[in-house]
Amino acid sequence: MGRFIISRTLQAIVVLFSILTITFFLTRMAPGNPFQEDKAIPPHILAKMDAYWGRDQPVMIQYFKQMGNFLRWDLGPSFGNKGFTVNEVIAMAFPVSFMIGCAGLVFALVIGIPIGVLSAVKRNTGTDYSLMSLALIGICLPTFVIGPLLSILLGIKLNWFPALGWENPKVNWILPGLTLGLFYGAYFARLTRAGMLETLSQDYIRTARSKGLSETRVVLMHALKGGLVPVVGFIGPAVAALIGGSFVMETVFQLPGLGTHFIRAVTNRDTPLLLGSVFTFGALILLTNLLSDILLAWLDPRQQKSSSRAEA
Amino acid sequence: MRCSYTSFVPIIFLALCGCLVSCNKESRVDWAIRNKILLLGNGSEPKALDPHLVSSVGDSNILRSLFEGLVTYHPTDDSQNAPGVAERWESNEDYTVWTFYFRDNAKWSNGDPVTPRDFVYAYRRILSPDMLSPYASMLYFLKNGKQFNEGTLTDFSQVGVKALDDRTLECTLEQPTAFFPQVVKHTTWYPVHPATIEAFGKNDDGLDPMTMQFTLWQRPGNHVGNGAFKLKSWVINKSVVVEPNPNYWDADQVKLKEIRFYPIPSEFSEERAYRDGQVHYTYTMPPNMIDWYRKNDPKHLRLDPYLGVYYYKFNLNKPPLDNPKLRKALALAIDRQKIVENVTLGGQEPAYALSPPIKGLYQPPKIVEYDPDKARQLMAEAGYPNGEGLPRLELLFNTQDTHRAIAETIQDMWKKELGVTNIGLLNQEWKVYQSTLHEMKYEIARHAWIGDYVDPTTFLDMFRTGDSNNETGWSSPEYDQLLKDAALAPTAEARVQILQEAEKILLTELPIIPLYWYTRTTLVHPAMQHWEPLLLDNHPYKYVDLIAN
Repeated sequence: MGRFIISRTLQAIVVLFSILTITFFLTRMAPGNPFQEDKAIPPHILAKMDAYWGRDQPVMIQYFKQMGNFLRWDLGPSFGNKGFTVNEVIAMAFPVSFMIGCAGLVFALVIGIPIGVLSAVKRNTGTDYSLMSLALIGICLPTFVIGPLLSILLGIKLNWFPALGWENPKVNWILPGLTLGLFYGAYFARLTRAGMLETLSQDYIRTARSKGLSETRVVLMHALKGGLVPVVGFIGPAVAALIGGSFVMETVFQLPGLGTHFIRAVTNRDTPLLLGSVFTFGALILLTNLLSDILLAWLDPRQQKSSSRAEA
Repeated sequence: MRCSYTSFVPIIFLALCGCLVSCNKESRVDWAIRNKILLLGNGSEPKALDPHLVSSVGDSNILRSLFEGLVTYHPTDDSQNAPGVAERWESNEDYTVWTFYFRDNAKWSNGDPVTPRDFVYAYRRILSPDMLSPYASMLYFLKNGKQFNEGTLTDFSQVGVKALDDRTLECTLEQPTAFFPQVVKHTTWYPVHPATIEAFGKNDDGLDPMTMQFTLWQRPGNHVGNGAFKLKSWVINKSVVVEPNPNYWDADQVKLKEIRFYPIPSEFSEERAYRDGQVHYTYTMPPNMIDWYRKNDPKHLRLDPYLGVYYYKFNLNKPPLDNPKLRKALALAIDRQKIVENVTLGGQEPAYALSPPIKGLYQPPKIVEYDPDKARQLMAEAGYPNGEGLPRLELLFNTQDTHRAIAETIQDMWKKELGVTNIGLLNQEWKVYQSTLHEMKYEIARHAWIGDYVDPTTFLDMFRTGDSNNETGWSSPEYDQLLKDAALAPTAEARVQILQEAEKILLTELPIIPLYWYTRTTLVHPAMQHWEPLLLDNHPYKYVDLIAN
């Protein structure tokens, strides 16, 4: 297991470095000047701005400077937010995205797994068909549809929760968390059902039943662990997407999370903030994938053996 | 089929949470009214809280609470001037030298007195080339201000601003400017607290502390301003909160206990926030909801005149757009009334000139009107009867639904009225669009301008030869001369006449097609008092109050 973790960590560092390199050069190749404003800035000021930020230097020198900044984890000031450094911007936004992402994950698991298990147990019945139809609708409806619907229904019409904003995080997390939870919960439900169906057809389940165990005990104690393997495989990228913040969710619910900074950095050509956001997203995806692989290996030891064989 | 109750657990959980949360039914705006806290939607996140580093309307809205200029905005009529740091001011006979007399009790939020030297320091700072201020050109009114900003003059004592003593500031201008008190209300003319700038600008690299951009002085606790409010908190993408400044000279006038500025870039989210009772005021609103509010909730809807113009500009360096007859034909074939009635929907006024009318001050000449017959005739005279032979032209706009809808409508009008079928629509994202525009790589482009001060020259000056906003390749020595003559006009009436003459030239040669004059479409809570319609929408917050009705 130790070798497995070390090997995956080294791979992750190479991948992260490659992502940053590609992002940097793509940003520099993109048209548009980050400092240009609606009122045309006189050329002499624009030239000084470029010089101040080192954008007048050869691209390779700019690249090595940026990478050096990353090694020191000092990403410098953002072009767009002149009062804050990129480190500060990420430090302010990440906890919000993390909280919403965790809420979304909990909702997704709470909604998705019971529905998936129930569908598998009641397979090919009315309950199964209706629950899976609901899950399919959940997958088909994007968050920018579910979000405003929940915001208007539960926020404005029923007045149960604030429709949007981040003034009172104690309650503001609920609707965005639920929106994400419904979307990902639908995936989890379908994956759980598939996993459970496969597990329930295994010999050891038949043995358990033949020993006279109750169906609830068979499902919860024996089948569930194996049935969750596909869910755990999906959790890695799902958690990264959930925690990394979503521009759509943050716009719909007016949240001060990371997703908005990411999109604004792209449109404003804010290279330092863009690289910082990409690094955060990239590191999150790699980390959660690694954790998901470790969890999978624990849930299903065959995975670890196959990984070890592949490495050998 | 047995029904399981498991699937109802999340719904029951949610309902319980909802019931717990909604026990307290007082809405956020009602709570805020009770506590005199004004909640304002404010467009996008501010770039900075430093008056020398910003240029957007949203940023100015915040800065107006934190700083005060020599002269300040009048609460009901922004063509009027209210005393700010200066309690009175006067000019010499030809309006080239202005003297501002400071009030005794003008103080910074830390209690220091506001002095003319602070203003001289601020003007030096914004004009310093190393400050990289995007809007320093607003101070080109000062004698030698442009030269100092461009670095061709390094001795600031030659720039036209001088502290005569502890209570008197003198500004010497490049040319006679009768409306100069209007100009100094703009955020770029705000002072900064020199000791704070110097303290936070200290560095080991030998750089001038005054022009250091990324210092901590803008943070809550460090920020020093001289406005009616002072900075309480700033959380990126969440809010900027200001509270009354006890050292403000007119602190007794301030009624609010707090103002919270929320950056809500999406007009749909902002409208939902308003409906949910989370803000008292929206920065803008979705055009497709205006009609609904008009019919169902008119007391919340405000359609105020706004000193801005939406227009298309031609690149005269690209034939055949150098042909004035073609430009005029394209301009006369547009039915502006249809655009404002069917596309923009916000009560905008069809624009027949560049500068909007300013009540009691300026009436622009009425030249560009919808006349399809004349347009067809001009098209034929230009050598393109029924649009035949006209090469393909690209119409550029930045990516936004309304701009696209306007462009499509005009594309259709040109097709129907003139037979022009080869107008391509090109949308670009904001930064790319700006570069394309400023580098003049376009053929026809949409543009808009909101006035910096209440005077027609805030629009007409853009089309002087060489002005950085001209960007059309159009140049008219006669137009330039008339603008110079207007500054020297002996009376206000004579000045207006000369400006009208200048605008006539612009509208005859048409390097631009004016389309509509803006309105400000917002939702305003009825509890907001003293939030009167203003042409520049620059509300002085010290008069604003919240009273439950």
